Order: sequence, then structure tokens, then C-alpha cells
Amino acid sequence: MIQDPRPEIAEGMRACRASILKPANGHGLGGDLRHALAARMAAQIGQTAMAAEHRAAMTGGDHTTIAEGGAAGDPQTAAMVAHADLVTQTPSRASEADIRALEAAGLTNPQIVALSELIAFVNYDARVRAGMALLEGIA
Amino acid sequence: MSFTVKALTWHPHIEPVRIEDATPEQLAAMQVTPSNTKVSPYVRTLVHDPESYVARTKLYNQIMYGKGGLENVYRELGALVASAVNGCNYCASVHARRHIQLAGGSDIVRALYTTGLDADLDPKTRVIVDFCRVLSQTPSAATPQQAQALRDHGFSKDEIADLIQSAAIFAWANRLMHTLGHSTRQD
Repeated sequence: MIQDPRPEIAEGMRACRASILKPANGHGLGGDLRHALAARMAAQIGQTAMAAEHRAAMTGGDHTTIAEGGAAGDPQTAAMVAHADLVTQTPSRASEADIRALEAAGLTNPQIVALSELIAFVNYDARVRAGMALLEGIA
Repeated sequence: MSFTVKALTWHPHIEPVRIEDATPEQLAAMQVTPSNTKVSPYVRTLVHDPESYVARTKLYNQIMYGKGGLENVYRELGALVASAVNGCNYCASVHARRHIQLAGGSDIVRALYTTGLDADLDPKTRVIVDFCRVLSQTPSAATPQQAQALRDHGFSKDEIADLIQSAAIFAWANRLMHTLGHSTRQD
């Protein structure tokens, strides 16, 4: 992965990645679920190396299927997967009903915010990686 | 006559943290002090997860306001184009107003607001808009030629990195603001 030329931004990105993927308080959203959703979204955005990194960071096999783009086994995870897919691919179509669906699946407000931050961060990170890779290729 | 973009009000879809219920970590994240107890609904919504809020705010400020590098008017254009692609009217209105201030005129914002991203723009602005648009919409479709076009308009590679960050951080911010709430006009 190519880093941002500004050290303070590269450091800021590291701190953000830690706060999203290895938070001190994950609000019940475990590391493997976070990496699995990240791998799934990265693949949707076309960042295959990034998706592979997230899959490699998973420590167990519980979420392998969703990491690889498949369906979730339980309704709550399925709701999170559906939200991640929607907000990654068509953010402009997200509406209040989508937040109500997460609530209906049993997510608390901290979980809704933590999930939203994960989705949004992965979309950010994928674009930085894509952009920096382009810069490598020009004079 | 100058074109203006009206300020919007943001309303969260979930109950924000109330100051009186906030934990010490949340109060510190919101920088609440005895003399500063007014915190926006947006910040009180995000502070449900204080760790990510604190980290992102620091990075955001470095990307949008860090000294040196790309001129701020172009960072605001990157933010505006991303917000248009992602359908975040609130973020678009904020950064359209900042762009008008920094550009000293409203020609570009007027064109983007009245005609959209395909508007008739000067060649340099066109190249910036195209690059930020593809990076926001379909990053894998951005080409080295589009990055080279920015070089050809005089931007250094470090400045292009700043533009990438300005557009990319709104892939993040828009996906919070537009999904966790909605905006209305102020009366």
C-alpha cells in the first residue's frame, strides 16, 4: 500500500484505521465481522488487494462467507451486510428506512454509528489507495 | 448578481447522545467544558462511538485545513464534487459556500448547482471535477491519464495527493451525514 506523502496524514490514517478495526470498545461488533465487511466492500469497490488484506486479518471462519460476497447466516448480520452493500454502492439512495431496518434487527445506537463509521472508512480508504496508486504511475 | 447556496439544518435519524448522559470519554471527545456546552446534533450522534469520532476529526482537519500543499479552494471543490456524487445535500451546501468565499466568486458553484457535474467549466476546473467525480463514483475507473491531466495543469504530485484526500474524506463524511440523518432548509 502506498502512503500519503504527508506524514501527519499517513499517521492520521493509521489512527483512524485502529479506531475502526481495532477499537478499545467495539460495541459488540467483533474484529472478524469488521474485517469481513471491509473485505466485502473493498471487493465491491474494485480494491482486490485491500479485500485480501482484510480477509487475511480474520482470525476465524465465522464470517468467511460474507467476506467473499455471500449471504449472512443470521438476520442481524444480514441487516448489517445489506446496509454495507447499499451505502457502499449507492449512498445517495440511503434513507431513514435503512436506519430503522438496523434498529429492527436489534442494533443499538452505538452499533449503528460504529457500523456506519466502518462502512464510511472503508470507502475512504479504498479511494485513497486507488488515487495514490495512480500517482505512482505518472511522472 | 452573485449566486448563493442556502444553509441547511441537519436532523439525525437516531437519538443523539444528550450532554447530561455523556460519559467522560464522550465529553472529552466533544470538547465539552463548563463554558462550552453547545454541541451540534451531528457531533452528538457520532459520539455514540467516541473513538472513531476523535480519530476522524483529527484526520479531517489535517486534510481540509492542513498548512501548505494544495490551495484550499481546490480542496473545497473536491469536497463539493464528492458530495454531489454521493447525494449529500448538507455537505454540498457547506462546501459550496466555502468554495464561493475562497474563490472570490460564484461562477463555478453556480454552474455546478444549476447544470450539474457536466456543466460548462474552464479546462482546469473540468479536469479537477472529472477526477474527483470518478474517484467518488467508481475509483477503479480512474485512469493515470486523468491524474496526468492534473499534472499538465500545473499541480504537483503532492498537491494531487491532497486533492485525492479531499475527495476521499467525503466518501467518508457523506456516508455518515447522508445516512444517519437528513437535511432541511432553514426558514
